[in-house]
Amino acid sequence: MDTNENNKNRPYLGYGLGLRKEHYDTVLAERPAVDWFEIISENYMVDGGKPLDYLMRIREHYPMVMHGVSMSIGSTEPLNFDYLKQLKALIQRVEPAWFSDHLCWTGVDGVNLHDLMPLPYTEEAIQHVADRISRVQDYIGRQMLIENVSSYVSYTDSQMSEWEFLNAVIERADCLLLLDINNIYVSSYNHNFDPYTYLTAMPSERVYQFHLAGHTHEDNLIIDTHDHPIADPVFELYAAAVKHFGRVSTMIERDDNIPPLSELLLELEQVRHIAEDYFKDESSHEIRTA
Amino acid sequence: MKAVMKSELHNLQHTFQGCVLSPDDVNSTAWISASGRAAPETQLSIYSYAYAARLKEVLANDYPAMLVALGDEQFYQLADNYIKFHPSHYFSLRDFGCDIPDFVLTQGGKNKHWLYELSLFEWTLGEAFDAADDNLFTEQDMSAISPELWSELKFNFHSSVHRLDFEWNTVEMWQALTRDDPIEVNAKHESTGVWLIWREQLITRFRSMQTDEQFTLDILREGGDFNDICEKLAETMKVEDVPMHAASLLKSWITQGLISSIK
Ligand SMILES: [Fe+2]
Repeated sequence: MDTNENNKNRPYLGYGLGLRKEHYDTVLAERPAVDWFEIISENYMVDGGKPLDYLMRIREHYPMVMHGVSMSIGSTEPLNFDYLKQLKALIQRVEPAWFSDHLCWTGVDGVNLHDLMPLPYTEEAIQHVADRISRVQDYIGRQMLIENVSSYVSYTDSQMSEWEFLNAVIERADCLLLLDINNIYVSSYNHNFDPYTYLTAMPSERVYQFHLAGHTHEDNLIIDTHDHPIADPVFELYAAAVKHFGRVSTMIERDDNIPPLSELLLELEQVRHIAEDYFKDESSHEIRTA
Repeated sequence: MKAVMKSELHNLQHTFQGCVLSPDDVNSTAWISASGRAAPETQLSIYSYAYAARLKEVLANDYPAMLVALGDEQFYQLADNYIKFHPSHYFSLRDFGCDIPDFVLTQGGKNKHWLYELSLFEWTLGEAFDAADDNLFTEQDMSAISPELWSELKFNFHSSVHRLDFEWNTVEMWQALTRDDPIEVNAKHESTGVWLIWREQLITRFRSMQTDEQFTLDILREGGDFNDICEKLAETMKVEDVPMHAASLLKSWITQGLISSIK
């Protein structure tokens, strides 16, 4: 793992993709030039069979990070230690560079909505979720990355902006940040805020990963569907993120309407170009002015 | 445990979840800020729509043959009812559809008995698909055991092994319904057919079993030993043929990857 010039302590994996079952055989047969893969943890929290077999064979050839959707870190339900136990076992098996989940809740009263429900931006919620992240980190034995979600509802209870809330949570929990650039854009549109203000408010030393994804534009809402290529305004916001944070491990999430792997590789090249062109300019600029 | 007052956060989550689970019974959206671009009701509808759509997709993936058998309209009607009465209590979507076979039976309708079997078959295939990767007991392992010890041998079966008893032509229907170009096969009531489902290495398999194989397998799975199956076989065949027959059954189970170890 390389480290980054801007942030010496931040590990850097390069440009990655989400591992999807549609691409298992192509990945094994062609060993595409993807620097790393992100897996959805829950897909491999099974006892055995094909999913785990593919996972471990692909793991032999690529660095991986684990991304979960079911921790429900923001729920007022007790932490699910049965889930955490299985997560920990998978972490020991996969040895990911890091693991992450979302700043959200997925259900209460014993029910799971299987969705990423937003939290109200209140002091009570900061305390609650930061305390639970700390407990998870203690149990797993390492720091975790927390990801900002797309949201469609905002609460009358909220007392601060999303970026103030997110900052406070990760500071208090002493965790790391998976910044989803598309989610910032989606929420900024839905809730009328400036995505660049959000972006530049993030603590650079804690930003370990970027997500990029496509979305769906409806009448007066954008929905985080992950079923399209990355939209232009999200590419623009990503370019600004590169300037602001330096080298951060970046990947594309595609969860629906999944194209052949070759198509995603082209999209990943686009992403790589945006960042690497900027870094090239940067270094030539440094030489000229040195 | 000390009694905890329900927090503001819990109340909000409880309210929101209620709106997602029962979108037709929403009585107030005052908890949603009106500062967003879309109206509060529209914002909320994104979550309730996504909730039902996601779970319906899961059920369609878990029960592809039943989807074809019922057709979209009836299948999604069933799925809607299931989602309403069986909200998910699992962290993994993989487990959400587990109660569909029993639910089908409670739904009435003249087809409920074969639909029950069809859905049970589909669910069991899924269970075998990602059952644990137990070790396999091999012919080599068996040949290392001296024959005089055989009579008291007991066996552990691979976690993927399931037995299903059907009264309909369920497997024939499943095969026809899951072809690339599905065809309709009429449901037929038959004399009981016994099916074995398991995973051989990474491949999920199923086959029917003859009567002698059914009861011998049952004896071993219930903790009986090799001697027990020989005694039982002797009730239906010539005593001198029993050891050979028992040994050949055992050999077939071993080569098909049904046995994980000896006890
Ligand atoms: Fe994301």
